[in-house]
Amino acid sequence: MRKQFLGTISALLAIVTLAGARTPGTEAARATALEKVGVSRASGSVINIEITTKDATVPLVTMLAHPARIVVDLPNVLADRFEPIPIQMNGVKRVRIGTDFTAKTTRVVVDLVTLCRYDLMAGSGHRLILKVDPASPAPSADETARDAPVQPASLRPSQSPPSQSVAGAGNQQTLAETALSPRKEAPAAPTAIPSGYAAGKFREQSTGNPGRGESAAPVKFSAEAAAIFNQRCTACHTYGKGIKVGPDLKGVTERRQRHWLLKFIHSSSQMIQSGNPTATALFAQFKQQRMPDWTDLSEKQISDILDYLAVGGPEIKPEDERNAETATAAETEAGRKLFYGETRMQPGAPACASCHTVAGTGMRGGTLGPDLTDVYFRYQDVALTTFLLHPCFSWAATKPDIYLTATESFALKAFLRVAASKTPTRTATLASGGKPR
Amino acid sequence: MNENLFYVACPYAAVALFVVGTAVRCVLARRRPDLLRGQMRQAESVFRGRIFWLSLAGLMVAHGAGLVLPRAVLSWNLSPARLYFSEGLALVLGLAALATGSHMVWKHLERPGQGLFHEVCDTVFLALLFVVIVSGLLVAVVYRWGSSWGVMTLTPYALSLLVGAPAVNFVAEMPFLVQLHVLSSFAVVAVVPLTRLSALMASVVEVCLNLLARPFSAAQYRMETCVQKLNPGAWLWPDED
Repeated sequence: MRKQFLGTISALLAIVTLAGARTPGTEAARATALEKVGVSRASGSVINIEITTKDATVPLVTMLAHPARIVVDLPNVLADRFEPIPIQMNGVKRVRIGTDFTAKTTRVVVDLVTLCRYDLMAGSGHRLILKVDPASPAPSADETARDAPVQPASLRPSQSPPSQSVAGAGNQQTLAETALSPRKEAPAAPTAIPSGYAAGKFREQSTGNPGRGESAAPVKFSAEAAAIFNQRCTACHTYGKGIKVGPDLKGVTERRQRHWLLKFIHSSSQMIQSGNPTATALFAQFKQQRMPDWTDLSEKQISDILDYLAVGGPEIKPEDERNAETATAAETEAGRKLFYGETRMQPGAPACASCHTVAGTGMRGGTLGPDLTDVYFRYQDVALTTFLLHPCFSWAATKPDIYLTATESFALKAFLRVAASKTPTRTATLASGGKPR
Repeated sequence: MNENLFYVACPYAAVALFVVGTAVRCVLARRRPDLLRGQMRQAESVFRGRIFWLSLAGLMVAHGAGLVLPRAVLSWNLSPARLYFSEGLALVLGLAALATGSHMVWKHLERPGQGLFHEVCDTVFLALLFVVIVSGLLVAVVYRWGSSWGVMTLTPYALSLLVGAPAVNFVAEMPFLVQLHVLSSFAVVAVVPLTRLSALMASVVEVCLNLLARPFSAAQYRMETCVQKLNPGAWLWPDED
C-alpha cells in the first residue's frame, strides 16, 4: 500500500513539475530584463546605440516622423528604471527608454533632428546595435506611420532637466551610458493630447477639469471620437498649434459647414474630383497633399469627431492627467480609501488592497499582485496615469464599466505618490539631496 | 491550446465523469444491493474522519459563498476585522483538513488492501485531495485574501463554465499555485465515482430518489385503491373478487 501511495504521489509530483516547468517558446509571459543602453560614436557621423538585454529578444524597429525618431520595441523585455540619454550631436537629440509593464514591452526611442538611415544589427551576447547615420537621408521614411502621432504615455519623454551636450573629447568613443538609473523627477507638464483617450473604450465621457486654475465645467464627448482623432488626424493636423501637414483644426467647425466637413472627411478625393471649390482650394493651398479617404468611418463617427473638435476636445485634459503633486490632502485621503476599499469604486471594481500592498499596509494588503510602494516613481506621473487606464486583468478590458473613473484614477495616483514618498530610503535619499534610488 | 485543454475540456470532462460514474454506480447498486452495503462499510473504514469532513464542508461552504454571493463577500471583506476573521477561520479549517487528512492517509497506508482497483482509486483520490488541500493552503498564505481576488477572477470563471461559455482568461492569468488548486479540484471530482466513496454517494442518491418518488408512489397507491373500489366488475361479477 505504501508503494502505491508513494508511486501515486511521485507521479502526481512529476506531472505537476512538468506542468509548472517553463519550456522555451511556450511561456510567453516570462520577460527578460534590459540591462544596459549605451551610446557611442562610430566612424564618420554614425552614432551607435547599443542595447543589452539579459536574454535574447526579437526587436521591432520603426522610423517615425513628426517628430523624427527611431523606435525600437523590445517585446518581453522590462526595464526597471530608466533615464533619458542626452546626445545633441550629429543630428541625434537623445535616447529615451520606457517600459509598458502591461504589454511587457520596452521601447527605446532615438529622437532625431531629421529622418535618416539606420541599421539594426545583432552584437555579441544579447546585444543589439542600432547604427544611426544622420548624415544620410532616409530612403523612404513612412511619414504617416500607423502609430506616429501618439506614443503610449508610459514611454513619453521624461520631464527631466534640459538635455546637456555631451562633453566629447576628441578620442572619446562612448558618449553616454546608462545602467538604467532613475531619472530626476520633475512635475510633468500638462499634455495637450489626452493620452488616456487613446485607449478610448474605458471612458464614455470626459469628466471635465481642463486643468489647474480653470473652471471644471463638465464637457462631454465620445471617447471613441477622441481616440480616432488621436490615431488618424494628429499625424497631419494640430489643434491650435498651427499648420502641420494640413490646416489647424481649431475652430474648423465654425469655419466650415458641418455637412461639408462630413463629406470631406468621408472622401476628400471625391470632393476634389467633383470640383468643389473649397476642397480644390485647400488641395492647392496645401501643396496638393490629399487627405486620406476615411470611408470606413460611419457618419456618426465623423459627426462625433466634429463634436469633439467643436467642444475643444483636444485641449481638454482629463482629470486624471493632473500631476499627482497637485493633489490636495482630501484627494490623497480619497485615494487611500479607494485603495483599501473603504470607499467602493464606482464601477464596482475590487479594492486595490485585495491583490496589492504598499509599505505601511501591514497585513492588510494582498500579495497576489506586485507591491505598489514604488510604482509612482517607477512609472512617473504620466505613465502611471496611462497604466491606471488599463485593467489589471485582460478579461476586464472587455468590460468598460468595470474600471476606474478619472476622479478615482487621480485619487489613487495621489495616494500612490504619497505612499512612495514615505519609504525610508527614498525619504532619506531625497532629504540628503541625492538621487532617488 | 494548453489553456483550452486545462481550463475548458478538463472541467467539463471531470463533471461528465462524475455524473456518468455516479449514475453507473447507482444502477449497479440497485442490481447488487449487498455489494453496495459491503462497499459502504469499507468506505466508512477508509474515509472515516469527522473533523476532516467537517473542515472540508466548511471550506466548501466558504468557496460556495464566493461563487453564489460574490458582492456580499466583497462587502464583507471591506472591514479588515471581518476579512481577518473569515480568512483566519478558513486557514484554520484548511490546516485541520490537512492534519486530519494526513492522518487518514496514514491509516489507509497501514490498512491491508482489499481489492486492487478500489485501493488504487482510493489512493489516487486521497493523493489528489492532499494536493488540493496543500495547494489551497499555499495559495492562502502566499497570495493572501483570496476571498477578495477570487470572487473577481475564479467566480466569473466558474460561472462561465456553468453557462457553457468558458472564459479561460480569468484563470489563465493566475499564478501557478492557483491553477494547480483549480485543476486538482477538478481531478478530485473526476475520480470520486471510482472510489469507495461512490458507494456512499449511490446510497445517498438512492435515498433521495426514493424521497422524490414518494409522492408519485403515494399517488399511484391512491389511484389503485380508487380503481379497486370503483371497479364496476365487482358489481357485474361479484364472485370473482
